Amino acid sequence: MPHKDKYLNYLLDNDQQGVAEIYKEFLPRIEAIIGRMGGSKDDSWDIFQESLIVILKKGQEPDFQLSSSFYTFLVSVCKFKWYNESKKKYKKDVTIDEKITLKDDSDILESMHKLERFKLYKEKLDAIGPECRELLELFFQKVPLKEIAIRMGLNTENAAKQKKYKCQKKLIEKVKNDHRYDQLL
Amino acid sequence: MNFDNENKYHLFDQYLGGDMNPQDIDKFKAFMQSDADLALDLQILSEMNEATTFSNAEAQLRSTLGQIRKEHTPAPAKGRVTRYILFALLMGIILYSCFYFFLSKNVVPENTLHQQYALVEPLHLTTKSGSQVTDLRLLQEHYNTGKYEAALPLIDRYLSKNPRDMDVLLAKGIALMETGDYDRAHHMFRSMSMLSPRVKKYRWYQALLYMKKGEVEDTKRVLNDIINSKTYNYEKAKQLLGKL
Repeated sequence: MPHKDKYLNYLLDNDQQGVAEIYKEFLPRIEAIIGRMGGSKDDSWDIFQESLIVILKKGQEPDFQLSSSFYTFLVSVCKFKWYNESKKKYKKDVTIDEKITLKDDSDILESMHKLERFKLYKEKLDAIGPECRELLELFFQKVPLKEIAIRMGLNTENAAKQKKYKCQKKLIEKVKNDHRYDQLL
Repeated sequence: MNFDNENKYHLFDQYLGGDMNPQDIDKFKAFMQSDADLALDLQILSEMNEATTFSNAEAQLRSTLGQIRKEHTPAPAKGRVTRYILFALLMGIILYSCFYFFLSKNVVPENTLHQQYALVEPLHLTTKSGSQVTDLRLLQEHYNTGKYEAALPLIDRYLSKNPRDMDVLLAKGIALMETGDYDRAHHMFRSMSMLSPRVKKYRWYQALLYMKKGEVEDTKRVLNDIINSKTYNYEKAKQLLGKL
């Protein structure tokens, strides 16, 4: 079901004209805010882009509703992002100039962490070898095991299933053994 | 049904695939609550599913934002243009010198050969049936303009519904090769041989992949195969073999 907010719908539908409107309307204001917090124009663009990805993810959640205007929400996400990125990039804490008062603060942080976890999974998927990666990608794309067996040159559907279990185990171990994972939970 | 560590992956599959009956779901949840480590395993697998679904939407939005950014980035100022031109001229001279150096040694570098021969055929997907016409158009557009990074998630999405489409499987192999993911490209070409042993077009790209990796002997071996079996691009294969 479409959301009430037109900007959120533009993101969810990947509406090119609509996204261009978001860009023109909000990027200059985000540049001013990030600029006040010590960021460059390039930083602002990165933060703006990554924040829209966070909002896209949130907007896809079935029970998500904007409790403020799109712009207010975008600003909050951008500030959180900037705060997090600055800590990582410049190894320093940044003061956020205004208190963020949105009730969905913890939600934003959780969404950001979830997207970071997604990145980590992708990284680990790359690290378990091309065969396992291919097999799991096919599986996550809901390709039937029978089809996967054919594509992977495995004799039976059961062989594909057993290989999948081994690959899943390998992937899970790699994720859990990465110290970054604990920080993202 | 047994709820123990031995068949945990089977249980995960059933739960995540929505194949568990309500009674078993309750038992499964109780079983998960008793073991935090197991619950974490389930979370990882569940989120991997979610990540795969999200990656398509993410790639599309990134591509749209990238295009908008490009359209709205002002052209460099005049003074800077002059500097760019001078820089380009200088680079041109350096490149020409390098090229001359290679020619004078009568050696054609393999990456130059790759550029000469790796002319990727455009994809024509919008004629294919299906309800994902917008996706197909975007996929085709990205692929045919060499935006392979953006095309890959759309290719995956298409293949999840049409896993035996040889044209798109080949396109995936080529996209992986062009984005430097050689292992997966190699694996993709190999799996095509199992899926349809009679279609040999992928062999040509397999040769190009070996060449890109600098594996000359393997390149020659595949090219000889193509020539002997008179399959796709065998005339080009002869030319290329002569230059290696």
